[in-house]
Amino acid sequence: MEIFTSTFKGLIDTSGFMGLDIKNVIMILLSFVLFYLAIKKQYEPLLMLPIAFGMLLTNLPLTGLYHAELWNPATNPYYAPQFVDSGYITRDTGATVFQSLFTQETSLDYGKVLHEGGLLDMLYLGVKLQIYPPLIFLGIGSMTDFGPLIANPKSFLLGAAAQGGIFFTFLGACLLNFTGLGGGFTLKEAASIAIIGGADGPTAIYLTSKLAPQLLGSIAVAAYSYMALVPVIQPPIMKLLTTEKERSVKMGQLREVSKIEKIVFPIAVTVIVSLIVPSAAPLVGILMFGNLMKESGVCDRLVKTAQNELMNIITIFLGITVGATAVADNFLSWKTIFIIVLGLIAFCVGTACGVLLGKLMYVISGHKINPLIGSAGVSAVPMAARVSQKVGAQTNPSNFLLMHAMGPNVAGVIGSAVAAGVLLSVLG
Amino acid sequence: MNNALIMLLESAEAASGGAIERIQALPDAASQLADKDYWGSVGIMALTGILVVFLILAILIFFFWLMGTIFKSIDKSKAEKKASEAAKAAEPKPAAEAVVEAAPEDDEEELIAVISAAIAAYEGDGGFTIRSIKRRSDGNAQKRSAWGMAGITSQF
Repeated sequence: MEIFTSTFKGLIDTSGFMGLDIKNVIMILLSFVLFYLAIKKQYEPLLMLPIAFGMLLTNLPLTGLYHAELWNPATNPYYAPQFVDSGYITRDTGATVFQSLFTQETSLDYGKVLHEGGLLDMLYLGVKLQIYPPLIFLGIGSMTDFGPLIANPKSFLLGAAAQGGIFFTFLGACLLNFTGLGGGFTLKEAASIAIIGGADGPTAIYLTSKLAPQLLGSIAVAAYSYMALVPVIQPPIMKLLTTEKERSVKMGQLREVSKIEKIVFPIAVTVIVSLIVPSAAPLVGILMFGNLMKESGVCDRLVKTAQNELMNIITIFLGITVGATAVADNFLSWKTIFIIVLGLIAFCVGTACGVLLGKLMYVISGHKINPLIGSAGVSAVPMAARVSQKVGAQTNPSNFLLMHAMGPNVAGVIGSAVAAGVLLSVLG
Repeated sequence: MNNALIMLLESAEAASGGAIERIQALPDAASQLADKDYWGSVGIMALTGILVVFLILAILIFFFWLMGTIFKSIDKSKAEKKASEAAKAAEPKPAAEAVVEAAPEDDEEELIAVISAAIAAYEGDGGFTIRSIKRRSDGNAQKRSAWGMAGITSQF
């Protein structure tokens, strides 16, 4: 009997119930809300579901799957070894007397992560080391047809204008510091929140994992939620900023783009962008690599892998680990609420900037460009382009803007990656 | 040009004498906000950021506009060459082909060809004659949803 009770007591002591506090419970309930959004409402379910499950796993106590403290330089610092005259001193010398010979850097001790980390810690290495987002871009590149953009290069302008939301929100996040709530946002945090306006999940994760990893969970949830809500958020802004006459403009047929042009495009974009903003190369370069594989027509097997298996595997790893970063201490704060509000502002301003530049182009082109295609510049491929098509068709059912909107749409992907590169080069 | 761009990228820092680096080194948002150059640096950063994005995409526009122009002129000269070769030949058939190649932008003819092909695919080998194609006058008679139409368009 004694053995039974002691075993039972041991089981209870090591069970998750003992480590459960109210914050964990709230986070677990929040993950249920995300399950609902992913399964019932189908908000970007391919990513939202893994994110929600990662959030659930990380907030179940004592599972040891993910350790937030291992990913914080303050609790897991890396001491860089120093060379001294007498030879190389390793960390193993250990004695306090040598401690001063090691310079503490802001980076992490990855050795400790490998020794003490759980499953999700191991998978999170791919986010922390910026491996997953570029690989997702490889898949996106191998699925994207840049033909509409090559046929109408002016679309690049709309893709650039829609990035206005990012920089506007950057200022907005800095302004919020006056409230002092949640400790405010540092410059790096403000930039990470602002990138939500790029409407590009991998780019947002890429930038945030470099600048403000502590906000990764909330920023990823906000970014993917708003991307799923593009058909709800954008139409009212588009209608508000355009007249019926502007919305009903029918655009001329796009010219046919030759295969050589499609092959030159990824190479030229990689060279030009990487030379000007090298920090954008991991995203833009890999995106274009995927596209070159597709357009060259000689790498069918690789293209199939990039589009399907690789993309799917990375999506699972990315989603579940990003969700795992949403631990209660990081997520349950004023910052998360501000991130959600600022993310929405970023989306709305980005859409408005695109439409407004579209209006300008409508005037300059002599009423040949439909301003509705400007809203597609926020990326969110191909959802934003479909919204342009839908709103255009509501005004004039025989109007087909889809292919015209795909130009700014894919330009937006390049634009947001460039914007991330610019922010990284200044703040990284 | 690259130097000019690097200067532009670093202008935020240059304008405020390394202020961004100094502000970033401060540990929290409150102390960053208290820095005297905070708003100047943040404003310049946002402005520089959007300008650089526009600049890079403008360079890409120029490049691909140039590429498009070159390829269009190559296509045009090829089409002209074919047309002139066809015109030299005596048979009427190649001449007819040449006309089609030289005027690919005739929307109506393309539309008629597409409709004919669709009917041919639908009817099979039976043979048919199209006497006239008329546009429906009631503009709002679209039965399919915009999403459905988008799906169909994407198949083209």
